[in-house]
Amino acid sequence: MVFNPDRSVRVQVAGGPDGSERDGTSADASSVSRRSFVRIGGTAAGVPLLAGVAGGESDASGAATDASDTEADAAEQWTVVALPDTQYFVVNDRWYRFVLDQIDWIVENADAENVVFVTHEGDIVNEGNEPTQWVWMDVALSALDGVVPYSTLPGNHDYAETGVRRSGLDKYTAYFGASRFADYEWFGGTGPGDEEANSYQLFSAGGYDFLHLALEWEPRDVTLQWAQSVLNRHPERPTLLTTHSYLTDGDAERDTRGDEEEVGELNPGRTRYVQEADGDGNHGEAVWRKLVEPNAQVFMVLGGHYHENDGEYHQTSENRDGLPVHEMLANYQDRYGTGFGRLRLLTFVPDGGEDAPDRVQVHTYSPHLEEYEADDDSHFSFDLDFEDRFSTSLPSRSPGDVDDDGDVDDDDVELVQRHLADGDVEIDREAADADRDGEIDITDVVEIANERGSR
Amino acid sequence: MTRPVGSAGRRSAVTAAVTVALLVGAIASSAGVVAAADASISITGADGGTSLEGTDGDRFDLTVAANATNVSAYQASLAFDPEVVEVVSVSGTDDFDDPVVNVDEENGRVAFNQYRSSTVVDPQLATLTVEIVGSGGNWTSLSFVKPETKLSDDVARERGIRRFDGLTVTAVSEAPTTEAVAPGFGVTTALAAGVTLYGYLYWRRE
Repeated sequence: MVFNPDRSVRVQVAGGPDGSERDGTSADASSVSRRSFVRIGGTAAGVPLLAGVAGGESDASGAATDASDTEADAAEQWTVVALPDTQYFVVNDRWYRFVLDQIDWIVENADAENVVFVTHEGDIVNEGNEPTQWVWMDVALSALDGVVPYSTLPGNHDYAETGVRRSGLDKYTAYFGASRFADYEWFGGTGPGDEEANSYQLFSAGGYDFLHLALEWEPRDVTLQWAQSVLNRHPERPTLLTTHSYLTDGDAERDTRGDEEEVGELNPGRTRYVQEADGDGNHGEAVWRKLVEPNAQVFMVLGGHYHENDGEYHQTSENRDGLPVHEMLANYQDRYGTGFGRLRLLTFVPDGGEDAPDRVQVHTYSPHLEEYEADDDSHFSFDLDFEDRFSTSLPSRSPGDVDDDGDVDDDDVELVQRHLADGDVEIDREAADADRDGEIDITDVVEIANERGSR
Repeated sequence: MTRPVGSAGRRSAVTAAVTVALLVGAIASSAGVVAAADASISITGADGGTSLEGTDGDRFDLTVAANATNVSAYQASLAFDPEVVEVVSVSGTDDFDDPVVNVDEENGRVAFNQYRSSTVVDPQLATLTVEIVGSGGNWTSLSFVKPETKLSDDVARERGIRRFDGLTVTAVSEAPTTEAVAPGFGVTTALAAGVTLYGYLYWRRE
């Protein structure tokens, strides 16, 4: 039986400095603060030092400011926070302070930054079968409860055996499964079926209602089908997707794990290989093709996991409907000091754009160092038209609906197959050209077959 | 490979020349082919041969196979001379279910396609059963129509095909024989009977 923590005693868990005794079952009755929990002294997080912030000016809350910040109505902008892999923060109590600093900063700046959502990018812990690490992260993230909507998802280190899906997610489910979030109005649910590895959240900001999908590491086909069903139920909601492994800053074509050779020329992008031990899952490119590209409402994809170069990469892709999808990797675990708890701030600034009416600013910030990172991969922005991109009247999202009956199913696949065999079988060529390459062929059959279940 | 002749008489088969055709395709170059063009596709007889011969009515099972990795779907089109062969059926294999098929006998085309949810390596795509309908001496190639023959992986990326290997079917002619009423009762017998009858009548006259 997996330890099922009583959330009321989470902050009462005590133990030695190395965490060796911090099993939830050893909780004593003495209530301690989250910091005394790991006996960390020093400067409290959430009290940002303001001077000399790299990468831009900073106001009293530690929030970034730049020209477009000041031009925009600060009251209207909102921020989504992405928490990259926290796994190293729970391997010793020295590093644990980094995640506490992260969470405390979010809590203390939630109003000033108008933080509307926090998404953890996976690899919550380093060893998925180590109870202490789960307790520590449980304690850390519990400070967000009731403050801001947030999500978690399993990375490869969150399975009982790292990188082995069949080893299970018992501890992840016990600490971060549906029961943790079930009472929150913004919590949508988990799936597929009775599984709790994937979840979705509903939140609002700037007058828009958003959907967030939190998908397991290298999501399986059944997971993507479940995600599609969620999208189908909320077609009017612009959607952010977070999944642990999606973009790499290394080589998108080749898994370089264990490669003793020097890293060659970088070839970042969506991964085209699966790392799961049994090959059970979809790589980044497949997630794009099967889920992101066909669904116009998905406008942003966030991920962690990779740290082949500096743990950062971003790109903008064009989906089936010709709309931009902003894809970002952030994972600082391999940096000096395990990255000092750097996190991502995605600030949506209405009327803050130049090339388009609005802007999304991306900042990389370490609450522990109280320091922004200023290089091009860490501090950038992209302009877009919120009203247009987040519109409820999006263009057709289902080019595979060949028979025009409102959904994509076996009938559409069969119709295209019949057309391929017999050109006299008439079809809607625009709908049949699912991969938008200008011709109708067997790749469209595969594309439509992969889209079955979509609207 | 010839069909056994009937017992009504000996059919004088005329051996026709066997033509071996190895139809080698060009490198696929269509847009959107992202994988290396290292795949090939072929159609062969039951023994793996690339040429067949037979007489009118003979049937052959032919295997269409791909030599490629990560195959999740295919479409194939074969051209042939409908005066020589007729496509009787196209069926599935262990790798792919029964395909969606259209046979255009008038123009000598058979097109078929199928997909599966996962990928497979070096799959057998389909089995064609063809029947010879032509007269002796005629032959036809079954050659892939390259623009209409493609492979795809499971994320809808086309696999480039470097080689398209077809085969040749030759009709062996069967020259018609003089029909006899019964075995051994032919011209010679009739002639002998006539001579005998003439001798008998000549003897009676005397």
